[in-house]
Amino acid sequence: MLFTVNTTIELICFLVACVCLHRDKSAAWRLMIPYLALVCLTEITGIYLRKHLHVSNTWLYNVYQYLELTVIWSFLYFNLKPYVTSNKWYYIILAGLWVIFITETYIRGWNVFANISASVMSIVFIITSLYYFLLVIRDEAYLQLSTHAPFWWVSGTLLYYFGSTASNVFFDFLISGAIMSLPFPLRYIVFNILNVLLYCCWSYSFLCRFRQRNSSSSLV
Amino acid sequence: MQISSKEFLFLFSLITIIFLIAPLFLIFYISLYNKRKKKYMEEKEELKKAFEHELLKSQMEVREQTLQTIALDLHDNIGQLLGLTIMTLSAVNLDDREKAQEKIGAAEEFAKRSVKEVRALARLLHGEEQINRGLVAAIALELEWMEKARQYQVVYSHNVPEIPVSKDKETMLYRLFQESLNNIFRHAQAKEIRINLDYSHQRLLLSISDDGIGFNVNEVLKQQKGMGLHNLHKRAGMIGGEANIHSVPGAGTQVAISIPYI
Repeated sequence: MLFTVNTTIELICFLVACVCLHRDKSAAWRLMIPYLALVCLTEITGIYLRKHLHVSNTWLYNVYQYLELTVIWSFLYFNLKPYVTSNKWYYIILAGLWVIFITETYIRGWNVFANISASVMSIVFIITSLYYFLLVIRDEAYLQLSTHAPFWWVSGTLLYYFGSTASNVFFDFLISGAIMSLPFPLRYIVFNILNVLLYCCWSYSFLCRFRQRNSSSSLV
Repeated sequence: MQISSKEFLFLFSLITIIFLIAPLFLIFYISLYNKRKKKYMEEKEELKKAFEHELLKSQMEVREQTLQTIALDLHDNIGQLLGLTIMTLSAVNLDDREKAQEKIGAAEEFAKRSVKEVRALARLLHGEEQINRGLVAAIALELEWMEKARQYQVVYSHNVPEIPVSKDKETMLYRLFQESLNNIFRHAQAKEIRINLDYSHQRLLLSISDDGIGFNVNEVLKQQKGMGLHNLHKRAGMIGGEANIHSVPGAGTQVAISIPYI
């Protein structure tokens, strides 16, 4: 069964991105389309590997995390662009995250999920999202937040990474035998909820972007 | 100490819920804050519009006052002088050369005085533009005219250093000055008027006092008669300043206006 809650919501978000962003004038926003395509591909391949070929898919998610950290971090920073002038921190933090991921996969191998690096990445994304909110509050100009695409994109990102903190902290415990006696996969359910929240927020931000583009082009 | 699966489930669920609610609460708070920001900006815009409206009104009132003064002067002063000139010239008898010379001399004198008065009027008209060049000069010009026309003893002192001109604030303050003077003309029955313009601690202080009959400030304000007084408070407040009116029946009145001025 390739269609799960996760894959379904990811596919919906991908389709929304295709419709809303394919003509977007910003390359950063258009980047979301190939990124979401890769998210869907990874998810479906992961399920196929585990359920049909009965082999571990951890290496796939480890590889995917490199892509995730690069794209999410770049887009988060792109949203900060109206408020910050220097690109110095973008490169420093991106390089730092890559070093942490490479070190962990080198030490623990590709077949062990790099959860320490994932936790560090989550913390970086949370802090950056909070910093974005701070800048929005401090900004003297009024923003119509209910239709402000970057705000909803960052909100979805914050909800996902903040919400997954508990899962990251208890990762080792959750995959150990101690918790296997539970009648349902707890971590999987949590990530289902988080994914729904993330992709709903992102889809809404893409719609906002689409409406913004249409309204601005109709004014011309 | 080992914890059971149920305890872990409870703990894990609780932490996850907290970590989910926290950002939701944050997003809600930011939206709320943003709405307040919008309201604040709208209020700011309204205040700006109100200020612009009041400024325009002040400018028009300054102009109106100047025109009224001119009309009054044309009628009472220049008109009379020219009338006298005509009368004198029409009474000239060319057969009586000695008297004719005397009358023509008087008519010439009237004409010269008329020209002088017209020049003074032109300067008054020009005074409206004087605000652009500085409040000190504009007030001096107005007082010069008033002293001549209304027989008041005027004492004007000022201590304002060279500071960048804020035209809007000066126009408003100039109008407040005119309103205060009008109140003196209409009600005070004063003989002496003292005006002091000072600059201290980044504030411009204008004080206008007279030795007139005075009045009970609270009573006038309560009776809704004192629209001029309300106006002084309102307009001073609009430029971030304040107006204090102090008066005692029989002992004159003092109006002190203080505005921030950088």
